[in-house]
Amino acid sequence: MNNGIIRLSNVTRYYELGISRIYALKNIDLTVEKGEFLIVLGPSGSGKTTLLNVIGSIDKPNEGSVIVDGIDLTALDEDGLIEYRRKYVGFIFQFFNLIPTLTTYENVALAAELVDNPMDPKEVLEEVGLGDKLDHLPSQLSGGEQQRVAIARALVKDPPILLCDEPTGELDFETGRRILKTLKEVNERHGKTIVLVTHNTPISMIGDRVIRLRSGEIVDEYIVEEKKDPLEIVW
Amino acid sequence: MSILRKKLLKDIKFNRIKFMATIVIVIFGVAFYVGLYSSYQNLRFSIDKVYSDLNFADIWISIGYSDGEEIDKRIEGVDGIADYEKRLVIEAPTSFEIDGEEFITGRLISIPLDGETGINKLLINRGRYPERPDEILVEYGFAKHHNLSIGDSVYIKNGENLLELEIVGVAISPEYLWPAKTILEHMPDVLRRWGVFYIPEEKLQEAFGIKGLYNNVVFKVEEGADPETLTNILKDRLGDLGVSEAFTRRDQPSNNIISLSVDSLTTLAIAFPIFFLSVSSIATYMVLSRIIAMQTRQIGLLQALGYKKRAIIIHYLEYSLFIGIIGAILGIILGELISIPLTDIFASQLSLPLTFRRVYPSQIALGFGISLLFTLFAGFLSSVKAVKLSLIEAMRYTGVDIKRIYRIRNGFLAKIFRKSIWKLPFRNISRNPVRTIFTIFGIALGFTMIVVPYSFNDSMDYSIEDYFGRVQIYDVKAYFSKPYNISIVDDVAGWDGVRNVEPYIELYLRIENDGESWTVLVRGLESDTELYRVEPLEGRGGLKSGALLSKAFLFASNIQVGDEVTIDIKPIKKVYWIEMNRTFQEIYNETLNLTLSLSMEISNMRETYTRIKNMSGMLDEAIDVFYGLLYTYVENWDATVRRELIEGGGNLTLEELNLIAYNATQPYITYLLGRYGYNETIVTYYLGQYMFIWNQNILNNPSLIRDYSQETIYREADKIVEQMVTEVSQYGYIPSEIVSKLNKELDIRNWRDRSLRIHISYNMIPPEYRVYIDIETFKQMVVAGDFREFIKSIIIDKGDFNVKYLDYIDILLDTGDPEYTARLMSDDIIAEIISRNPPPPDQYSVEVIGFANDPAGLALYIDIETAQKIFSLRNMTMGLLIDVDENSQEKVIDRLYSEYDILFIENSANTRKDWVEMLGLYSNFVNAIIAFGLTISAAIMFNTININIEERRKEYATMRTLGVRMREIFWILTIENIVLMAIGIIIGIPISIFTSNYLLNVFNSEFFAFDPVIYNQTFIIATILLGIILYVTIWLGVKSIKMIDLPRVIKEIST
Repeated sequence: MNNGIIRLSNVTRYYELGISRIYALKNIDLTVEKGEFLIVLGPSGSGKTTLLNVIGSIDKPNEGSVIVDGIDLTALDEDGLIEYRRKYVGFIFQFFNLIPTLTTYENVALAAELVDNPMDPKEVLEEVGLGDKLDHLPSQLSGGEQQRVAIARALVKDPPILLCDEPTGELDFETGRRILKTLKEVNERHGKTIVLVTHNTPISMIGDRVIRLRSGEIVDEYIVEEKKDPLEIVW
Repeated sequence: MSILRKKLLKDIKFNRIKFMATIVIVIFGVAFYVGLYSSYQNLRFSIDKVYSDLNFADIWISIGYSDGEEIDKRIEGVDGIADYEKRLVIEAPTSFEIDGEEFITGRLISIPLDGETGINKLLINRGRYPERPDEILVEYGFAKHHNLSIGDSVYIKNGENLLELEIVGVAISPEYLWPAKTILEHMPDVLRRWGVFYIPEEKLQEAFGIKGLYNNVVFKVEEGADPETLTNILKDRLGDLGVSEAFTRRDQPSNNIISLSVDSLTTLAIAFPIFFLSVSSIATYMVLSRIIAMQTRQIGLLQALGYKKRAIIIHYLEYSLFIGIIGAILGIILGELISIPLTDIFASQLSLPLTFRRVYPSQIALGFGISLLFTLFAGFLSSVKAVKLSLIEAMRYTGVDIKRIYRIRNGFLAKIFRKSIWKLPFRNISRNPVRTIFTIFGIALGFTMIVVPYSFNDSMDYSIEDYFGRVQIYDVKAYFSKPYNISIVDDVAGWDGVRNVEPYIELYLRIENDGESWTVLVRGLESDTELYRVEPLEGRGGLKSGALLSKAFLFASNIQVGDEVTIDIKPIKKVYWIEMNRTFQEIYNETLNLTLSLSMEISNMRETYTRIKNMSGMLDEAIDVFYGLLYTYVENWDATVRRELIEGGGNLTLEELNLIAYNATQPYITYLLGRYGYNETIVTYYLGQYMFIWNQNILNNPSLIRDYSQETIYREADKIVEQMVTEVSQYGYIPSEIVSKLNKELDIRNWRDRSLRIHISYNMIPPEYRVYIDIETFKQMVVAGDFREFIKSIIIDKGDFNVKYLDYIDILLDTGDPEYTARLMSDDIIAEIISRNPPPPDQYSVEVIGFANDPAGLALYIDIETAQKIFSLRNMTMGLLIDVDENSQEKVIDRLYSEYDILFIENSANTRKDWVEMLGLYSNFVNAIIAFGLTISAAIMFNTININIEERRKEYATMRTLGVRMREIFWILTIENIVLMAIGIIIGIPISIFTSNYLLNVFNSEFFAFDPVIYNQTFIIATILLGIILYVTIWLGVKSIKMIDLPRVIKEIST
């Protein structure tokens, strides 16, 4: 486990609120192996999104180190962090965060243009099942479709890591399952490391490993022995 | 506090930057409205207050030197006069150095020593009121111009005597708030050569030998009385005292200029603040509605929660009201503060020494009301729009109108903007057309706010450049006190450094068209003038075919090309006399203004007599003149007195003899006077003196009676005349009793004034009309004749050729050359002169052929030949336009002063400087407006762009998580806003051209008329300034994007 693609050592993230401190993450030690599908489980306010943000470099820990593929994120400057985000991570947000003025294709291409050897946006969109909606604007798509665009946008840069923040949070049950299925396929087919944050315990069944957070601390960690197909899970 | 109210406060707190920026627009709009308007009103108020505090007169009447009691008698019983004051107003050479050679013209105004003036009160700015006769006050503007201090000496030249007076105070007078010598001479430059001094009355009367006499009366009229009507009544009443000038406040030079200046400011002072307030109100509306539109989702949510639509609308109205009230209150406070320095700036530009400030509640209420109305309107419309959306629409509101997203699919642009990132700016522009239109409109307004005030400076600058660069080509303009033969054009053209000379006539007259009339400068120019290239802006050129009107007429009248205007020459009294010029110069090869008429200053009489004495020929003639009168009289006296003496036995006392002589001669004198227009006083005085001396001699030496013969009388008469001339020469002065008498009865000074003023006060109260004939023409007309014959012939009734005693003196001495003098005055000649110089028509009609490219005032340009014809100035010129080498300018000006009777000389460069100074008032105003425009423009731009950025914070945050660099975000924003700015500017150009044209046309008046011009550089400057504002705004926006709390924002459902 020491050769993990993501290694967090003693990571602490807190927010100053007047004279008191609120800890979002407390002394987190975590290693994620390359190609692993890690589920971060926890109730609201447990620090799971902060953990994801720290891995994705859009948030910085106050203490500890975050090393991704041998790169110490805490040592990078702004340009270094941008480069890191471009090459290593693809974000998938709960609220999709698509650019409303760009079409499906353009939203994906927007990310593709940021890296030297991107995947073909069209192919990626076809892969997530949106090959026939390339010219649609986000507002013309359903929630599930929008999330699939977000997945395609994350994938197209061909990053080794996908960070998914409650990707089904905004979706209905059926659509949510299909999105998870897509992610699972991406993980298996492309060997992407996925860190998926959810408060939904049944979803943890699709991952390789689960860590459970509470009040910013890892309170439980286990390997999923009996993985389920996303389409089989129910919540 | 209700939750909604709490939400309101939290919204304000959360959006404080946007909120404050919106308030800033309201503040600036209201502040500039209140500030500019208040300053303007303060200016008016200050002028009115100075006038009322200092009891500014309503009517001015200048008369000949008259006894105070006589004046009182005539004014007595005139209804409507509240008060009046008699005073002396004398112009005399004045210097500040005892042996100084430089003299300026001092306007000496009498003031009472034992108390202060009741009308046109003086406000002592520095020093104190005079307490001794030799203490004087100096007018504020002049003191400032010449840096005069308390304790400085002033030397007033009265003949060869220098009157030394001490300045003890600097006075502000309502009559000279704008130090204007006359309506024509009002440029700041006039103070270089002219100033006003207030001298104790007795001192002034004593110094000029006019004790008990006054020549100027100022009146205050009762409330409700019409000053114009009263002026006419007073003119009639005082008519026999020789009214030379009578005017009301309207035509009082200082007030006239101030009124015109302030009136011109009206447009700037009212139109611009309203423009600012409107623009800022529209901008407030735009910004506020955008802020509310950004809360559409929240509005949907509130509805979903069960809030009534009305409650939501009220909620946003409160939001708007909050902005409106805070903005308006702060704006009013700021505006009042701005008005303090602004009032002072404007006042100093108008040379107004005092300013008073007031608060104008109605304007404040209006500013408050308008800004509130717009903010409430914005709140209402936007919230109504939001609550009208279906819940689902409102909750899903993204600010994107998918139907209108403009997609670049093919073609040129598609190739350029292949990268998705570069498509964003264009998508953003088209994502929300209403927002884009608002942004573009905001930019266009911002652009307009900068360009319009700048355009005023451009227009002024262009007009001055154009006028002095292309129209007014001459370097020096000389204007004479009297007409000169046109041959002086050739004379002056031969001077060193002179390149070109043209004759020039300029008279202030009234013209009429279609029942409307204007006082204008009628300018006669050579039809192919090279030096004053008035060209028609509209219509056809060629002064030969008609008249050009100055551009101001386009704004001050409805006159069209092809209309006829009538030049009114009616008020000119037709009294002719002949004045010969240049005679001495020709004969004695000496330049002398030798018009030995009583129209010369008394103080110069001695000088004149001395000159005569030094020129024996002239002296002889002078004596001849007197002899002529004397002999005529003596012959008559002889017949009567001798008979009485002889028949009465020679036993008479002197009194008896005098009475007899008087009775005997008076009918003859009366006859002479009545028939030939002799002046009673002068005849009585000289002849009486002769008579009394003669009578005395007879009584003392009875043998004279016995020895009486024609020769004896002539010999005695010779002695007396010789004695008089000797006395004059020895005294170096005419005896003061003569002076006093002459002043009082003959109004000599007034003639002097008239001759000086004749061309400038022509249409006001012109006392005489002169026929000028050049010497060459005259010589040709002269036939043989004896001088003594002339004396006889001159007193023959000439019908409407009213030859006066003085006219006769004029003719005699002006002619100068005995050869011509001897021959000139036959009846035939005079008749010939008159027939060749028919009385001018009462009116002269001329067709308007166009409007000229000159920016200042009301003027009518005609061909100089026409001017000569209608003003009876055949072959004469009143002035010269001279193109001269820069190096020779000073020399030429000096020579002009020394060789001709100069009323004023304008140096083009100085005139231009004066112009710029005059326009300083507007420039200051415009600069203030530019500053305001720029500020509002910046606030509008900042808000508009800032809101654009704010609305898309989440998008930018997302892009950052994807790895888009700040630099790229900066460029996305820059491209988007540059495109918007370019469109805004393209739209702003016609808006600003239209607005500035409109405002300039409203601004243009009969005082100034500028071409509406906007320099390209102004557009460039405005673009650069907008670019800077844009850059700063984007820079701040990018900074704020950089500061975005990424984790928080990307989780936000909506921004």
